[in-house]
Amino acid sequence: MKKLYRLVSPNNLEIYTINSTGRINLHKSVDPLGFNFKKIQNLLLSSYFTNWDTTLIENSAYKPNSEINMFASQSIYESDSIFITAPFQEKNTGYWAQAWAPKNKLNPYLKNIPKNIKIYPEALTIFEPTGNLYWISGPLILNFSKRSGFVEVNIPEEFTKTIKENLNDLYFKPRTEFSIFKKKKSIYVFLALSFLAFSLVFTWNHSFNDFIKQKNNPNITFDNAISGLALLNIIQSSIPDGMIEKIKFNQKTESTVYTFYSITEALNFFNLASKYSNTLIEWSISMDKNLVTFTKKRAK
Amino acid sequence: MRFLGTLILVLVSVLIIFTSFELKSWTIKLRSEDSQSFIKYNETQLNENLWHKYIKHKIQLNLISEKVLKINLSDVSPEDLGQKIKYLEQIKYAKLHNLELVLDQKSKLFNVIATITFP
Repeated sequence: MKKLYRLVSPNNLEIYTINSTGRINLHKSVDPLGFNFKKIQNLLLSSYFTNWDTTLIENSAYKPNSEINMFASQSIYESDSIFITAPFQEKNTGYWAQAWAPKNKLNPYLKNIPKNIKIYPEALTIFEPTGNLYWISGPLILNFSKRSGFVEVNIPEEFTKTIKENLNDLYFKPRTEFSIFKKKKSIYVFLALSFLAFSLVFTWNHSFNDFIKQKNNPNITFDNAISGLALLNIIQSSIPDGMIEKIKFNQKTESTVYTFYSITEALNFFNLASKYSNTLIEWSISMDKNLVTFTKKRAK
Repeated sequence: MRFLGTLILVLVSVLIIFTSFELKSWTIKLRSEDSQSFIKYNETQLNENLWHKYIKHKIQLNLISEKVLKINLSDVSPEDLGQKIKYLEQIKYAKLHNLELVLDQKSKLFNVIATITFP
């Protein structure tokens, strides 16, 4: 079961348990002065520490910014001297509500509370379905108003009905909470996200882009073995030194052209090479002036 | 919880940048292990020094067209000729079209002219 702490006044801190339906039951009351606030996760502030207002806005398109102070013009406090909740609309009634709490009243407690605490205004988060129960909250007597969907204030002087001293058996709905620590944290999260975005862009430009390109377009490799070299090894002993001017290997036609200094030398070589027809069975041989050409026979 | 999330984001970012540097150095290492890797890239495939380093001989490059390159090795001794032809045969990232061996009668040295095409 979750625990809900209600700071009633500087001298009273009530501890409730919340069941699955949101109903709260008083567990005990303690003195807040010696209490360790570090353990608290859900804190409810009574009307001693907060104030609030409600208003009916019939324009369904109205969507106020979560940081706006809707009732600033009616407040006696400077905007930087209060904590505010985000405006909240009760959909069933159309009423908007917002609460605020003077910083000077809360400051003694803020030093000792955890950063992840959720602080709620009692007036906007306590619910009672009949509207006939009255309870005391700080200096005020409150009851739930079915008309607005939030609690309303009753004037003590004219009041004759039974008043509860605590919130036992009422219901807790965490509809809106005070923004106390959020802004600072958002900056760090934003910076961390920016750093993450930077690291991704940097990685892409620095190395990953090249790596992906390389993976997607593997290099084409060629086999450039020259078949005419094997032929040259066979016949080079038949060529006297100083007879050949040039040898040209053509890979496209798979031919080797030997250029001799004279036609006579070419003819002598051609006649000699023709005798090796068994050894050079893969090659056809031809002669044109001082050029002797070997062309690799293609398989039929 | 939010602090932990922020910390994780920062650590992940640092890890990504570290991985990026590692990937880059791995890629560079791979390239340096391949003595012909310069032929793959437009920026380096016409660099005479890199060709000289690969063939280990004085060369001249003559770009015939955007993709066709003529490589000229002059004054190759008969002892070195086989090795130089082997280097040209072993070119992986370009197609070898022609190879000419021209003998200078006076000096008894060869001029080797190879024509290659980049893919």
